[in-house]
Amino acid sequence: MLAKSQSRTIFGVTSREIDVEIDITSGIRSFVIVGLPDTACRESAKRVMAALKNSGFKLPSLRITVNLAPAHLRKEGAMHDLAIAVTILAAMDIIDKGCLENKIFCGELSLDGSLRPVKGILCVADELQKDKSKELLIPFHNRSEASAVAGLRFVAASCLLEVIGYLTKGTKPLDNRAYKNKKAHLSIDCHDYSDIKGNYNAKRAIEIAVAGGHNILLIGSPGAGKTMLAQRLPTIMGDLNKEESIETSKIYSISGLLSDKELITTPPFRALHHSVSDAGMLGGGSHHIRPGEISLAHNGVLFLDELPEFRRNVLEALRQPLEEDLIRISRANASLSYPCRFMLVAAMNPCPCGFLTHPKRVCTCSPGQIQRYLSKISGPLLDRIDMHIEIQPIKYEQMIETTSEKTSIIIKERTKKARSAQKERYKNHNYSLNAKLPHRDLASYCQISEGAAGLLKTAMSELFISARAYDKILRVSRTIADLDNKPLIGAEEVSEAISYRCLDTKAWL
Amino acid sequence: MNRKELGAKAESLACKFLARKGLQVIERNFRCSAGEIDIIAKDKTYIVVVEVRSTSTYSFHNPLDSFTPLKIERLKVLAQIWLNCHGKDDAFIRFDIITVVFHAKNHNKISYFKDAF
Repeated sequence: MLAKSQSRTIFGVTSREIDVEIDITSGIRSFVIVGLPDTACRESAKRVMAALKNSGFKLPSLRITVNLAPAHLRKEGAMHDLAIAVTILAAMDIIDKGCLENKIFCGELSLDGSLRPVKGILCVADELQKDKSKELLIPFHNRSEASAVAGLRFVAASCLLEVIGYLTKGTKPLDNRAYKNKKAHLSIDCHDYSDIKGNYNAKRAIEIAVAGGHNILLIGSPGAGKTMLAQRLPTIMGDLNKEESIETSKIYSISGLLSDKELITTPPFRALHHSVSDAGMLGGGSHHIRPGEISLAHNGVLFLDELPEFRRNVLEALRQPLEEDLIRISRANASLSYPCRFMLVAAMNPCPCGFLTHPKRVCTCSPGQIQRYLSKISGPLLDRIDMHIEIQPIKYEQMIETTSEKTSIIIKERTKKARSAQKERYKNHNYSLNAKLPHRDLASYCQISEGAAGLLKTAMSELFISARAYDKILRVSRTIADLDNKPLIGAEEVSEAISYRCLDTKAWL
Repeated sequence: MNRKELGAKAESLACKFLARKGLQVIERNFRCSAGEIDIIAKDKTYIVVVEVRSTSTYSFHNPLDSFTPLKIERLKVLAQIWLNCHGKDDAFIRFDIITVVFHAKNHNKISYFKDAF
C-alpha cells in the first residue's frame, strides 16, 4: 500500500518541493520517518497518529514508513504533518489516491486533529503563484498570508476533517467565520516629533536621513534626547509598497512572527539591546538557520542605542551587509542568504561619563578612557555611516516653549515626496535611494553649482575630508536638494551636508 | 506457592479469561533464545501476543510497573521471531496485557489491556 503527496520545506526565504511517500504494511506497529528529518519533524509521527485517532479514524497495527524526498535536504519543523496524515489515509484506501494530485499540503497537526499555523507560508505561497496547476492547503490561521498573494489557489482549513471533506467531497471550509486578523504591531504609534522641544538641527538631520535612507549616528550627552529622536523615526517613514511589504513579511513569516496577522505594511523598527550576539544580529544557528535582526529590519530601521557597548565582533560583522544589502550565511549543512536593506540609526555618548561635549558640565574621563571608548567603533564602520550629528542638551527657554513643533505627519509627507522623486530618478537602476547611489553614477545624478564646487574644494583641503566622505557629502546634499525639490545642488545644500559630518570636523575624535 | 507456580496459575487464569472473551489460544509459553511469549492467541484476523503479569498481594506494587520499555522492545522482537517461524510475516498483530492480582480465598482481580502498545 503506497501513496504519495506533496509538501514544501523552507530554505532561506524560498521554499523547496518535498515529496511525501508513504508505504504501509501490516505487522508489528512502527512509524519511521526517513529523509533527514529534524526532531520536530520526527515527532510528527506521534502527532499524526493521535490526530488521526481523535478525528475518528481507527487504524490497525501497521508498519508505516514515511519518506520525505529529496533525502539530502534537511526537513525542519512540523510543516509536513498534514501531508503525512492525508497520505496515510490514501495509502489505507480510506480516501482516494487521486485526490492528492496537484495539491500541496502544509500544516502542523494538533493531537485533537485541528491544524496549527506554521512558519513560512508566505514564501510557499509566493512561489506557487507562478504555478497555476497546484492548489495549496494550509491551516486557517495562515490564511491572511496566502490571501496576500494574488492569483494563488488555496484552501484554508481549521482541522483535518475539513481537509478530508474538501478532498473527497469538494466542500470548501466556511470562510466567513467570525475571525479578524490582528494587525502586525511594529511601530509605536503614540509617539510624535512634536513631543520633542528644541533640537531643530537633529530633527532636520533625521528628516534628511529618512528621506535619503542615509545611515545616521547621533552623539550626545545623557538625556539630550538621542533615544527620543530615534524612537520617533517610524512615525515619519512612508508605508511600504506591495513588493517591499511582501519581502519584509516573508522574513517575519519564516521567523514565525506573522502567523495570525496581516502583512507588514509599515517599515519595521528594530531597537536592539547591546547584549545581542552575532548570530542574533546577522542570522544563523547551527541546525536551524534563522534570519537575524538586520533581516527583520529589512526595508526599515535598525536602531543601535549605546553603540560602543555592543560587542565589537557584532559591529564589525555589520560592514558587509551594510554594503551589499544582503547577508550570506554559510554553515556546514546549508548556505543561504537573507535580504537586509535597512537604515542604520545609532546613538552614543561622546565618552564613558557622557559629558565631553556638554556645554556646562565637566567631563571626568581621562584621555585614555575616551580613547578606549571611542576605539570600540572602528573606522570602517564609521565610514559606512553617512551622517553623524551632535545633539546638545536643550535650554530652559526651549523646554517651556509653547510654540507648536512640526508634527510627524508633516515631516512624513516631505520624506515621502523626496523618496518618490528619488525612485523616479533611479527607475532604470536597481537602487532607489540616494544613500545607495554608487560612485560611478554620482557625477551624472549629483550635479553641483559652481559655488558648491568651490566650497567642497575648501572643505576637502581644510577639513581633511576623505574621498569616501566626499561621496557621502554629495549623496546627503542630493537628498537635501530633493527635499526642497531642487534639481541642482547648491552651496547651501553642500554646506549643510558638511555640517552633518561632525566626526570629520571635530577634534575630539 | 512460589513465584513460578504463581506465574503459571496467572497464565492459566488469563487463558480462561481470553477464551471467555472469544479469543482462540494458539500457543502458550513460546520459548526461544531471546525470551518467552506467555500466550499467543487469535482474535478474528489478528494475531494477539499476550503478556501476563501478576502479583501475589494487593500491595502498592502495580504489576504493570515492572513492564518497562525495554521489555516492550524485547516482546516485539519475540513476536517477530514467532511470526517468522510460522510464516505469518504480514499478519495484523496486536499486543495485549493481562494483569492478575491474587487475593486471599481466590478473590483474584484480572485486568485486561487490549492493544496495549
